[in-house]
Amino acid sequence: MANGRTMGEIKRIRGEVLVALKMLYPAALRADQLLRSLLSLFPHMEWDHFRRDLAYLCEKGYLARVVSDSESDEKMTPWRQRWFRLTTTGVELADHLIKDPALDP
Amino acid sequence: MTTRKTKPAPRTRRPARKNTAKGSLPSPGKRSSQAGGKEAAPPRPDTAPVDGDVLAANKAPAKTEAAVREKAESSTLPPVAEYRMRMDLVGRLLRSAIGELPNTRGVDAVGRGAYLHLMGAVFEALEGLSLAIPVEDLVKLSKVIAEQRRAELGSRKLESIGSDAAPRRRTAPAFRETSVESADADFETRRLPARFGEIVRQVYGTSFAGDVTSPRENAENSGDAGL
Repeated sequence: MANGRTMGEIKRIRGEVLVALKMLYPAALRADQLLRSLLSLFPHMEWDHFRRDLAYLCEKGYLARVVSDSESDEKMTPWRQRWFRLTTTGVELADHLIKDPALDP
Repeated sequence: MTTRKTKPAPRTRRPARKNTAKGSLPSPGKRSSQAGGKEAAPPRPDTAPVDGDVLAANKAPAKTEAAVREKAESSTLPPVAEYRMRMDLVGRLLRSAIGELPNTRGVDAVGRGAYLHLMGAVFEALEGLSLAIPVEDLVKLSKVIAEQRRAELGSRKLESIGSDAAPRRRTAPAFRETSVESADADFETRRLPARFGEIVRQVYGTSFAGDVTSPRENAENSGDAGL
């Protein structure tokens, strides 16, 4: 278990993030909106874990941040107010065209 | 008397069979499987009303049971499938209504920001999130409610302690007295009843005059002294 989450839970949550953004692709979604939407599936999900999952998926190249013009300094924008969308690699992964052992259930 | 083995119906009429049903008529299919026979036994008349619909239902047990199962499976989707279906519909609506995010470098930043905000607002409305309480507010509300509960519990405890300790205070000074002065001080701090002076006068025939009496009683006593 990592930080109170099982391996299966981690994979499921990250997978659903990709699937949710794939449904909206190419639209972007704010982090807090995405969290509130996923709470219907994972009611015990915490913001800290979710934020780390977003950062992880961004570094992996599956998510990309979209900077809004209303953000004066993108580095100072709180994570809840940041916008994210899937990359092309993320779309391929969500469609199961490519595999990632760290995210496969 | 020899029992007829070819008739399974009497066996199914035992009261113990009925307990398998959860507040409803037991399925005749189960009875037939348990009894080993193909015919379904009708319900006992003293336990269930003899209704034509009931009898008709019992005559075709397999169809109703299968129909109920199919209905149950089709109506309840797994939560994940339901969520994905909903998100898919929201995505289609967003794309058809607002369009795609411009990816060109020359896109107007203001337009992009407005697009994002509009997208977010529409998504919230479609997902029902606009009617929902934000997570931050939920956390704050839960903390406020928890603090309020603690305060209420604490005040209740204090009240219970106070009510329990009140009768003991009358006897406590008797044990705590170490000197006459402390006893007098305790006596003075206590409030005498309003009609204490009158009661003393009625009982002993004299007026009760002292430093601890209230001004009202002193006035009454002084008025009665002439009588």
